[in-house]
Amino acid sequence: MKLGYGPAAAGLIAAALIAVAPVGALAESSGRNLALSCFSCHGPAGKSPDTIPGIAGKSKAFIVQEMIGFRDGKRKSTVMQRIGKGYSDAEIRALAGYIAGLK
Amino acid sequence: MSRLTRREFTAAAGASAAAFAAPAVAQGKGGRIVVVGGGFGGASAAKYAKMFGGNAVEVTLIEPNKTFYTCPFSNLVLGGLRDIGSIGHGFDAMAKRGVKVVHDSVTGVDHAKKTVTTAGGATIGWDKLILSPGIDFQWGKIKGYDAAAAEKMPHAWKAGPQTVVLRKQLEAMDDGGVVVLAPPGNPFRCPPGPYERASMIAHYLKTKKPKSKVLIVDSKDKFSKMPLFMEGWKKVYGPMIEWIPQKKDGPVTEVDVANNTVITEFGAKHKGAVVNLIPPQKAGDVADIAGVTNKSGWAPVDRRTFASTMQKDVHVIGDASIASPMPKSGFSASSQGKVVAAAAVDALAGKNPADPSFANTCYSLVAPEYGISVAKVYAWQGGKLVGVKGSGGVSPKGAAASFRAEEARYASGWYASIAADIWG
Repeated sequence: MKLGYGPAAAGLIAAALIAVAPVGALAESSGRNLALSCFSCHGPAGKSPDTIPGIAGKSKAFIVQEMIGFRDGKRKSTVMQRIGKGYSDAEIRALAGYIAGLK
Repeated sequence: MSRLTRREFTAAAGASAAAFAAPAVAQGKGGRIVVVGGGFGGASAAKYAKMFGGNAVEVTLIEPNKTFYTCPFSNLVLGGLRDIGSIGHGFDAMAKRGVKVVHDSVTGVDHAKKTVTTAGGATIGWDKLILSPGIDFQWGKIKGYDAAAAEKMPHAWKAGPQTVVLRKQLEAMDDGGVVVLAPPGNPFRCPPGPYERASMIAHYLKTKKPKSKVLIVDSKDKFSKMPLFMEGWKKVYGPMIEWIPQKKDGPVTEVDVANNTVITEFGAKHKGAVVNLIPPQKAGDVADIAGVTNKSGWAPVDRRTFASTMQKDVHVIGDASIASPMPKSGFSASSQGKVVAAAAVDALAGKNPADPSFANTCYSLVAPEYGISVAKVYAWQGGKLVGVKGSGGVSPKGAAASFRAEEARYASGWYASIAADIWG
């Protein structure tokens, strides 16, 4: 995700994080809680500063496909196969929707 | 949700812009959140509370130090892979987001008035108090080991000056010396940490002082990622690392500081050219001051929101809390900080917080290009915090060198990402 103007970009990310809370009640806040863990490795709002692939700007469909691939062992990885097994289809859709909505 | 509507975006952008104008004034459904401790848990909570709460929530972060040095990656400083400056993080970005950062120590908590008082004489009011005080040591549990002894036999289990003391001792040691590393019994901060430390010290010795060795005098019989560490040590360091379980000599109960010696319950004495003694731990002293710890020395919490079970409107996160099945790790603390920030902001807005979801991924380096990991996903199921069945676990045994190298590369990526997520 490149917005092209520094401080305002941070503001937009914050805005996006704030804005999702009131939309769609429990499902949305559940998606948020599920997605928060992702940023510890993939970077704030999914923007990775280093060696771990970023997830910002990816579509919901792509994230869902990757996560289910990891979970079901079809997509090889070091740690994501282990992490993918922690989430149901519904949870994967909710966290993917939240991350995709950050753009 | 896939995109913001114009109305939502305008409202949120306004809230975000106002977040830069300090001090925020509580208006509408919001309030004051005070976070104590600027480490993995506290800094995450403060940053995300401001992001979620916008101008409706006034967030204050109280942390004594202007720079926070992380325990994660401090072992790499000991191994000579990094310098101490690379693991220090300041709070300028936090302040720019509109978090009021106060560099001071909390000396009192008044639950009736909902205030904290500081050593600098400030009184700060809160509606929600989030405590993330990390650990302090149970001085006196090991006979002869106190704060003065720690200058000669560093614990280096709070990073910063202690890390530098231990690194300087390793640099000054003659080739052929023994480094005694004495990890505590459970529970303690960062379960795989002592064993990554043994690895990183051995890496330094192998490179610079190859006749030396690391002797681990353990106060327990098994440890985190044990088969993976054992496999890696054998492969990379051979006999340079020796591990003595507590069942052989008993736990470490005493130190002879003058002779740089640790003494076990059964009377075995291990003298080191360098001694790294990691003492038994408890919740950070601030948790005692706030009255949120029980006889165990740690803080019991309702693990749905990490609300203290002992004081109202107080959350305790990170190493200080009793968070099992989650381990005491930086990743856990940050994961808790973010979810608890959301819960506190929701509660102030009169909303019932969503069920939590947490995760933990801990990388350890056996060698610069040899990384291993443990991971787990945690969910709220049937009124309990549980590790999700089938999720997580450790890296495979017997994996190819390329797999270990990739995990080492991801370890540094993890550090850069989580540091940016918390202090950036």
